[in-house]
Amino acid sequence: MIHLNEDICQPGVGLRSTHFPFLENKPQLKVKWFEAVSENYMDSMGRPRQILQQLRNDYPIALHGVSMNLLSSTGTSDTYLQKLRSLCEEIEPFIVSDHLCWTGIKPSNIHDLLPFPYTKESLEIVINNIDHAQNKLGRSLVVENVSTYMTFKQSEFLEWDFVLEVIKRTDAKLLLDINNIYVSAINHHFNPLTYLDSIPQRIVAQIHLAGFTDMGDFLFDTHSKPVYPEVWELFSHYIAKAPHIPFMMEWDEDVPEFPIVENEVAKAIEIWKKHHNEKR
Amino acid sequence: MAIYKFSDFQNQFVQMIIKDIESPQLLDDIIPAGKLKSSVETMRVHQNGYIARLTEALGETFEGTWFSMGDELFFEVCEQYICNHHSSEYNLSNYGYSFPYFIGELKNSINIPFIQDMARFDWIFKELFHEKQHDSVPLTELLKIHENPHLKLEFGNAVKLFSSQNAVYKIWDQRKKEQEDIVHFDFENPEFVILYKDKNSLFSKEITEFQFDILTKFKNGLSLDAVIEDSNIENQQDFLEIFHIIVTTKIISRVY
Repeated sequence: MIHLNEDICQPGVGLRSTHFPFLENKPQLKVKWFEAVSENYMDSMGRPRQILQQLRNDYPIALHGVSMNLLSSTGTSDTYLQKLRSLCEEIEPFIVSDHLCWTGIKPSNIHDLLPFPYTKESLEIVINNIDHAQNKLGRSLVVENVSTYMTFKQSEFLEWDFVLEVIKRTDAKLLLDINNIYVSAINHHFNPLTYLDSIPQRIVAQIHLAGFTDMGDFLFDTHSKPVYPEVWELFSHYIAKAPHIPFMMEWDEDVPEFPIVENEVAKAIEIWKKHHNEKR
Repeated sequence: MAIYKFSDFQNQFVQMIIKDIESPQLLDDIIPAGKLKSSVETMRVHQNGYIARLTEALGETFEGTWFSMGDELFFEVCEQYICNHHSSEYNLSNYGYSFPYFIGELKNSINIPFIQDMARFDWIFKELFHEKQHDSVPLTELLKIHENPHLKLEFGNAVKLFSSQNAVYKIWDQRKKEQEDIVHFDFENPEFVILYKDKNSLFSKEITEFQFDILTKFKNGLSLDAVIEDSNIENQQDFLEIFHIIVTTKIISRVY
């Protein structure tokens, strides 16, 4: 199977079903890897799984979940983890990630990346759940910071301090979503650079880029637009110090044709080259 | 702000999303983002998102039902269903198992005679889409039932039989057409269809009621001689046609 070359620029893109017909023709691509949403393939032995298997022959794959429910006080689902482990054994992803949030409490699933107070209790819960998931999966996890539309008076940590504590106390690494940092920074009135500069490169396994929607009263993480200039600036700021971190573009709603998504990736490649090719 | 148990926080949050039960403790705890004016308005972001995501999931699965009902009625029924059937699935595409039955209960108000069958067809199609392609038995293996009529036929996992008193499949097949290309026809005709996968592609084949009954008996585990005894078979040609269907669709995975 193909593996990532860590010495070079590593752009990726989110695998979406609307692009399957385009990708089946095996076009020449600028992207070097794909990120697949785990849940779209765990329960399917049909066309989505075949396409993923075919792509895996030519590209490294990262599996990115939305339902591991790492902040749930009722714990993660062992059925879910077992199915994910089976998929991992078949696809051999170079990263398995999910979100630093909760999606429901048994038996309800809200199918949303839900906010939570950053407290000592929630910290212990997520550490236990990550530990449990890593044991069940037999590998380390990568966890993503999410964007939020509310904070809580009872929080005892700043978001980035909470994230750092989670990483410090587990074997997990961070999937740094720069768009999410920007969205939350505007929504909650903090400086995104304060957040970014608190994150050491050694704990970051991957970077996400995406577009948000300005709802007027707040910014909403829709993944339905190109990357905003402010987010490109933050990416440039961070990637300047972090040449080896794989980065990718997510586009989930109003998904355009593949070349348009790849065009956004090309912008990220140019920014990476501006910082790193000049030094080489 | 007093810290309350995390499990209480999550329980109150979920109750507010799925049942709109307000918790003063939770609402007092929330600091709204941006220019959102209140905790209630902030929670609305997640409440609306919940309905939107589940509606989108139902829309993806029940394409034919949506096409038949139109946007307004479909979204209205989806919201009723979502309010009464909370998701417990981690996989959104598995949400809606009971949607056809729910629609059946509303059929008097929906007033589309075939709508429950259409929803049932949508769900069957979704299941087949995600099924693994089965391995078909070779023709030489199938021919053994001529020599030994006690043998039974096991259908592959990627095979579904569907019947309706209305032409549901023909309507479903038009679901992605532009309005001006839609052909209107008398839907009040019974319909019998095999849906199956061959080389990982989905196919459908209309069959007669007689052929449907025979295939259903085989699928239910009857041997050839039991099927013959149980059926009103007038001539050998009927059976040859069924055997031709079985061979060309490659729907049998085992002869036993």
